[in-house]
Amino acid sequence: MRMSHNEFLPHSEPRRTLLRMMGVTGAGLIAAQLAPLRALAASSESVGSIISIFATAEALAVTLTGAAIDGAGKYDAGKGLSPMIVTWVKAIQAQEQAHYQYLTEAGAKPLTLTFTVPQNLANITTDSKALFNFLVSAETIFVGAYVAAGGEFANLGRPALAQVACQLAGVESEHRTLANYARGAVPPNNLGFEKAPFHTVGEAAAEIKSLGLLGTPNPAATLHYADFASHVDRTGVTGLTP
Amino acid sequence: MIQRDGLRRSGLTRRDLVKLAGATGFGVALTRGDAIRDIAEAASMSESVADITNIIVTAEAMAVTLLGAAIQGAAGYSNPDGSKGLAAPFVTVLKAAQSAEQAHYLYLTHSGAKPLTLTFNIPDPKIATDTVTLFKTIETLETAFIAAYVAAAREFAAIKKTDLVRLALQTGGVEAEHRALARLALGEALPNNVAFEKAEFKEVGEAAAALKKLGFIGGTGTPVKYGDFASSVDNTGMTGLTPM
Repeated sequence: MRMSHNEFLPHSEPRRTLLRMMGVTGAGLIAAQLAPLRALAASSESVGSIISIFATAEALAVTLTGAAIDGAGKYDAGKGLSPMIVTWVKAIQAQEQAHYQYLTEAGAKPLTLTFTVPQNLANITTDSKALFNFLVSAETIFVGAYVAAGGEFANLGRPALAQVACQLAGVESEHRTLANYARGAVPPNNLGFEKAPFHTVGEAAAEIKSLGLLGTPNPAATLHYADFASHVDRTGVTGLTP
Repeated sequence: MIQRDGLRRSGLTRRDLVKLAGATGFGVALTRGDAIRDIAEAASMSESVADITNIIVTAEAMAVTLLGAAIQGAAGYSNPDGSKGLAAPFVTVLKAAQSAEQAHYLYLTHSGAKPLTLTFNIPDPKIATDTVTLFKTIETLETAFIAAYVAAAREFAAIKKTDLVRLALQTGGVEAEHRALARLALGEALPNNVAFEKAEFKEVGEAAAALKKLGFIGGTGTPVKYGDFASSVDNTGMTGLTPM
């Protein structure tokens, strides 16, 4: 599968177009050395666009998981999320934050740090089943985004970035299966191969944007990354860089 | 389909690479050090696509075999609390894992991969009788499998085999799910404990060497054969049994 050059934004492409494309949550990719990646991002719009979309997605993930953690006690009419689930979601948030930090330190610029919960997803903040269903769907999209990114980086001749995409696809897959377990799926590990519906990261971003998380009329909630990033709990999480 | 292009170490010098890239129109890209490094990486690869896929398919056959042995002996496992038998939910997880590994094996062999062996060894008898030993072993092996797919992704990307990179990610992700669920079975408070999957190996061959060193391939422990377990794989509840 070879990517055509017009699928990557030229330098003159307006911010609006990038906003249209972005939004994948939970995707992350890192180079072994930050300096070469910074240089690469500045000189290659395609890689720059991709990692900026990913940074935005990571920020979205930190924000939404943070909202779930902060509201853990309110789920299911006050019954609350179980301590086990809260621990898992805290780790998910820590991992997405690690991805965000590494990306931005490498030069990625998130296109927004303000996110919305549309009315039709409002129950993900109050109903545990809705939360787990959403997590499974979202992580499935993120894994697909990583798969697309791996292929794109191969076409761009960037094997180190393809490696990192694989390292991140694995982490998002773990999130998927644990969310599946939490919602009672039998078996939770129900895939022979992770789904790969996207050819480009932009396609995955469009899928996420269609969910209304990057701006929507009359949202149920508007959330700011900064309100959640300051108290990420990394307890027990290792491998915070690739 | 996986292609066997028999890529071997090229022996190209940096000057040769510059000349080649200029001839193919990539002169502009060569002003960047990264591009030169990436081309050099592709040229320096010592493993062919066939080498990589043959090793991976052998590992998948090993996984089908070991999981099959565990499933068959599920009732006899000793648990930390003194009870007997693997818990039913985790037998279901093991069956699903075996189904996935078999799907990987079938796809790879249908694409031309040839396993290096279909006979494996159980280096520690407790793997077949003790629940904690079983799941710790699964965690260790899945960590190695993930790292092998990470290495494969990089190696395939270095030679621009885009579809194989995608395949490596789709398969590595499944192995990561198995890793997390093994940790769950062990009672770990944090099954998802890493922000980036480990990238222990530079080449897939290093993963094969690790499996040999652990005694699962060419070892002295109880021999187990793929053919004794492949026919009883249970695909109940599984989807996505091909990567398409």
